[in-house]
This record gives sequence, structure tokens and C-alpha cells, in this order.
Amino acid sequence: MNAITRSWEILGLGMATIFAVIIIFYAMVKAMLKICRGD
Amino acid sequence: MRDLLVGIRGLSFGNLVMFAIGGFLIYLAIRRDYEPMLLLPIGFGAILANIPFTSVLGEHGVLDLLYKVGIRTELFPILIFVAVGAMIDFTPLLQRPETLFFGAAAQFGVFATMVLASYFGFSLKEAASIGIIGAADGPTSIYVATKFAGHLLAPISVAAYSYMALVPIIQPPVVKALTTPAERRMRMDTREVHVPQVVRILFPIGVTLVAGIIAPISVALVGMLMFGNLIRESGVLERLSKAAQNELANLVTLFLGIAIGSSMQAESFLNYKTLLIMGMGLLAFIFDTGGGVLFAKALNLVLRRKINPMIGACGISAFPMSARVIAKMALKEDPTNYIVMHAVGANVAGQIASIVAGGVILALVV
Repeated sequence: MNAITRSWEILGLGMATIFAVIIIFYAMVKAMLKICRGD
Repeated sequence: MRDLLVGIRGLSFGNLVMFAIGGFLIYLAIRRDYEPMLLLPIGFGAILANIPFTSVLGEHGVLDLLYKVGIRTELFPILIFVAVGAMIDFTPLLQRPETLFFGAAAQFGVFATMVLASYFGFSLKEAASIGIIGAADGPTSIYVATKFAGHLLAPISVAAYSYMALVPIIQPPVVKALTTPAERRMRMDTREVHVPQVVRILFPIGVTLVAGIIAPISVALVGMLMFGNLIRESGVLERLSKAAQNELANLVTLFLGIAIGSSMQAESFLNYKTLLIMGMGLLAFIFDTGGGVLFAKALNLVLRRKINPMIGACGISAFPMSARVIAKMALKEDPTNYIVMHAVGANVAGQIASIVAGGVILALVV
């Protein structure tokens, strides 16, 4: 697979992975705040 | 006599150009205050490295030694992460966790620039190293470039630090082009939110575990940043936290800059690739800003409580510059509109997301 095709793939995969990780961080922070602060 | 003239005889046109470039970087650092901590040592390192038959390079050269020990082993950027982690206060982000998403959206520039670089004929690893300039995060750029394209480290570092300093010039026109005056005047909730210390302690541990399990290759990046932050937030290691923020940061920055500068030798630096990298670095920052703003606008289509879309532009890692620029823009549109806390939250999110982006790039580009 050439670099151009692979870079387009990584664009899609990379952004999806970053959003997935951030969603987990978000859920984690919300849960921490709920437990520790009683939100 | 002959020996004394060897330096003059060895001087090439390329050396003279590199002296001028080194001098220009020193000028930007001193007169314009553009990232002086890095650009000044880089500039002087470039001058040292281009003196013919210089003794700082070569087998016993001190800068070669620093480069091998600190850069090639990735030790310096990693130590900088500890220092940066000790400096970051995640409270504005924890007060408004939704700002995390702007950090993610603004990483668009990293990947878009990588695609662009691959069209210019760069290999995938080189393209990824150029794209990471869009993380707007010096140590992450250095870390990824060292791993993937050591020969491009100098132009990538210079581009990353120069454009970070130029955020007040790069971001406003992009934000203005993508938003209407009414959008720029949008107000946001400004109430103070309390974040318990236990959350500030658990956060770096949780982030390390999640990022590390998803992308183990990112542990060095994320883990060391969060280690620095844990020292800060623990409340029992004040001396270590201060040492990381001051002595460690200052010493490593000093050697990091001059070691990078030493890799700016005329033969490897003066070519069209350097110009391309500088151009694409600028585009990376523009794509980041655009990605963040457009994401915020897209969210407004579905949210009940609308967001000032300018906040999206703060999702880059250039902290606190980006938050300051956007908060100022909001005040210019409406002198009573304070969005600074949201802007800072998004900017801190950018610091985390940029490192996650670095980890994702390392994991996906094999």
C-alpha cells in the first residue's frame, strides 16, 4: 500500500481513535466528579 | 599560518546562510520574544555547528554527545514531559470536561498535514513527523520526529516552536473567516465549579492507564507527563514539583535547544524539503484551528446550550497563548463577554489530546 492511501487511512483511524480515547476520558472525569463531589 | 586560515578556507556559502538563519532565530527570540527558551539555543547551536571544522561536532564533540545522549535516546523530550506535567493545572478542564472534545477536534491538523506531506513525496514516517507539528507541542514533535525521521528533526523543531510563538498571528484570521460576529459574541456559563483534590490526583493516573492500555507505545509520552502532574497534585511533593517545574525544565530545555541546533548543518538543512516542512507546519496550525472551530459549529447544530465556536480553536497545545488570543477576540467583539475559563479548559484539553495524537501516530504508523 502506498504512503498516500495509508495516510488517508490513518487520518480516519487516527481521528476516530483520538475521539474514542477522549470519550473515555470524559466518561471517567464525569464518573470521578459524580462519586467524589456527589453531582 | 596555514593552519590558522583553515577555518576561513573551509567556509562555504551554505555556512554563511546558516549563520544568517541562526542569527535570525536569535533575533526572533530576543527582539520578538518568540519562544526564546528554545529558539535562542537552537539559533546559537546552528551557528556553532556551521563553523568549519568545529570542535563541538565529531566523535568527541560536546554537542554531538548531547545529541546522542539526549535526543537520539529520546531522553530530553521525555524529561521535558515530566516538567510540563508538573506545570499543568488540569482544574479548568476538570471543571468543564466537555472541553476535552475540542482538544480532540483540533488534532485534525496533525492528520490532514500528514496526508498533504505524503502527496509531496515524503515517506509515511516522514509525513507523520511533519504532521505532528500540528500537535503544537514541541516535545511531542521532537519525540515523534526522532523516532520516525531523525534527519528532519531540525526543520520540524524549528517549525513547531516558531509557529507556537506565532499563534496570535495565525489563529485570529482563521477564526474570523470561519465565524460570524454573532457567533463570536456568544456568551457561555461562567460559574465557578469546585474540583476535589482526589479527582485531580486520580485524573493523571486514570489518563495514563486508559491511554497506555489503548496504545502502549504512548506510555512514555503520556505516562511521564502525568507523572509530573501527579507530583504536582499530590500535595506532598512540593519540592519535587518545584524542581521539575524549574531546575529540570530549565536545564533540559537549555541542552535540548542547543543539541537540536547542532543538527542544523548546511548540507542537511539547506534544501527544498526544509521550505516544504516550514510551509506545511503553518498549514498544520491552520487546519488545527479550522478543525476545532468547525467542530464547535457542528456541535451547536445539536446542542441546546450553544457554545461560542471560537473555543474550538483553543484545542491546540500552545498553552496559554491560544486561550489568551481567543479570550481577547471575544472581548474585542463584546467587552463584557468573558469566555476565558472555557478557552483555558479547551487549551488544557489540547495539551492532553496532542500527546494522545502523538501516541496514536506512533501506534498507527509502523
